[in-house]
Amino acid sequence: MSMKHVFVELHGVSAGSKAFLSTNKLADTALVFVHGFTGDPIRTWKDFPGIADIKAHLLHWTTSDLYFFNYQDATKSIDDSSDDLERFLNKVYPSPVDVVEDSCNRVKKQPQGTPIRYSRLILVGHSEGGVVIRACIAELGKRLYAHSASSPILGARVVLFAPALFGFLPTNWLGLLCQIFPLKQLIDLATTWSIPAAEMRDVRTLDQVREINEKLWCDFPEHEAFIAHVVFGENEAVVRRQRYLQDHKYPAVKGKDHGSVCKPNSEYQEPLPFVMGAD
Amino acid sequence: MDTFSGRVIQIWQAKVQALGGANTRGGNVYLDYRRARFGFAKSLIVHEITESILLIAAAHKLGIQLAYEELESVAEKLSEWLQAQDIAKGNKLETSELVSGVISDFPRFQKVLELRYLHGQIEEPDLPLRIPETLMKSFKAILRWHLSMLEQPTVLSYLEAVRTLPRQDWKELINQQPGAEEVARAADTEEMTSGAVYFGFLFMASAISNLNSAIGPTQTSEEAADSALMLEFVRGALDWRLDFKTPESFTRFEDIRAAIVKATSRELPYRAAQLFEDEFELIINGAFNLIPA
Repeated sequence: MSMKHVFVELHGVSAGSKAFLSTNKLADTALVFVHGFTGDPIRTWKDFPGIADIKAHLLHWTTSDLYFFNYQDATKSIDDSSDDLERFLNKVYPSPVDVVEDSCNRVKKQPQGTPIRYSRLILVGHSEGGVVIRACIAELGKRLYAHSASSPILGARVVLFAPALFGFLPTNWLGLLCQIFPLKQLIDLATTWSIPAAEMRDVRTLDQVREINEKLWCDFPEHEAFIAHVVFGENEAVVRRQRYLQDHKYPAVKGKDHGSVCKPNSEYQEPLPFVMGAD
Repeated sequence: MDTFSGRVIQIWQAKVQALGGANTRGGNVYLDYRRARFGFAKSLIVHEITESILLIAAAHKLGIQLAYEELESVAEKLSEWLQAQDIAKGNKLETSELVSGVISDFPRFQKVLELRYLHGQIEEPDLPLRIPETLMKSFKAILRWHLSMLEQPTVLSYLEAVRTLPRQDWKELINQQPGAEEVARAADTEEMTSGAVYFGFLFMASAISNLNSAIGPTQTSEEAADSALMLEFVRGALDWRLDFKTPESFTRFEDIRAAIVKATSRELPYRAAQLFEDEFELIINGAFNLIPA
């Protein structure tokens, strides 16, 4: 095993976020990992960084810089987290801001001020992180209607592990029916009589994010970020196993559950080509 | 190739492959011994692909860009498989019940399906629209909802359970009342479990509701006429899903609906339960095009 990436704290960019930067001067891909509810920017992904440096995977990963975005998932709304993610992405892609660029140059052992420019962005989300990514893409996509210039982020490959796109598994029947038929009359009934209002607010938010993404995909199909590559573990027991209409469906991963589906190890290396798109 | 064509081809190939033999897994199509032996699951798969073929023919008429040649080459494999089911009677080949059954279940398209499945001739179904371009966007949504049903194996489990499961098996299945979480977890399940049948029922109702509302309000009388023609075409392609065939099938459908209403009502105070029952009835009647008693 040869060390080809170096960990860097990104305090000046986003509190708690980290990067695992390639020493390769030709790095042209930025991967941004977004953890889920009560997750951790690094531990959520377990051996992802380490495995990327194993010889067998070097071909793709040596030219990739990995970024691990941190956000206050437990205290902030999806909207706020999505805004934070957008700010973070704008600081990294396609040209990192000075403080990140300095770190890149230091790791790559090239003169400070050497411009860094990525040509490919991959957004990787787990659980609620998947929703944050899609909410961010929806927000960026909506600006296309105002005929403003398209954000380069909309060209990203989006890879989601066990995303909570349709919410957590319902605790009762009315919750399930509201998830499947997110109609005002049903949600009002649920909010008034059965289910905490906060839970139903999530149903509404998730449905809005889905609706906007699907509409954007219809109206602007040329942008890759409106379609995600989605995978669940066969033992998924936390979120509803469902994708948007336009998403690519992959077979459920045998023996994996909500938490383990996004954690590669020496026996489970399928996530690496899946993330990269060599699938 | 566009994403929609690629996904349709992938799922068609898996389904056509599954038709080829019993006890095989093909993509997300599961045929166990009993299902394959009675040919019920096979018949439902042929219905699903026929629905696809008809909707894709409409997409062609509307000028939607799809990989038509590649799609047709997979559809031809289905026709070949169907023709191989014909039965030799003396010097003549007699059409199998499976083929004649499928054709009779799509009365709106009887002529084109006879040509396709009995004579190997491809003819586009009639759809005389005046300004087809105004319907392109709505129809793309219809295609996506259709694809979502093809890709969701629990829909097939629901249809099969309601129509063809032996009575004793049905009783066992319906008596295992699943919890809401179990139903939600059954998404994408290939095996016919109680949770999968309930999920398939709800998923199909939701998809057809969305399909029904995909064609929105119209501006002119010409557009309104086109919308009506399109809706009639789409319902002609989908109505086999809603045709219960026998009183027993309808009773089974009602069993599932009643079980969901009962389980949900238990979670609510009396007045709210009444409101819920009315609301749910509207949703399901709207989706399944049922006229309230």
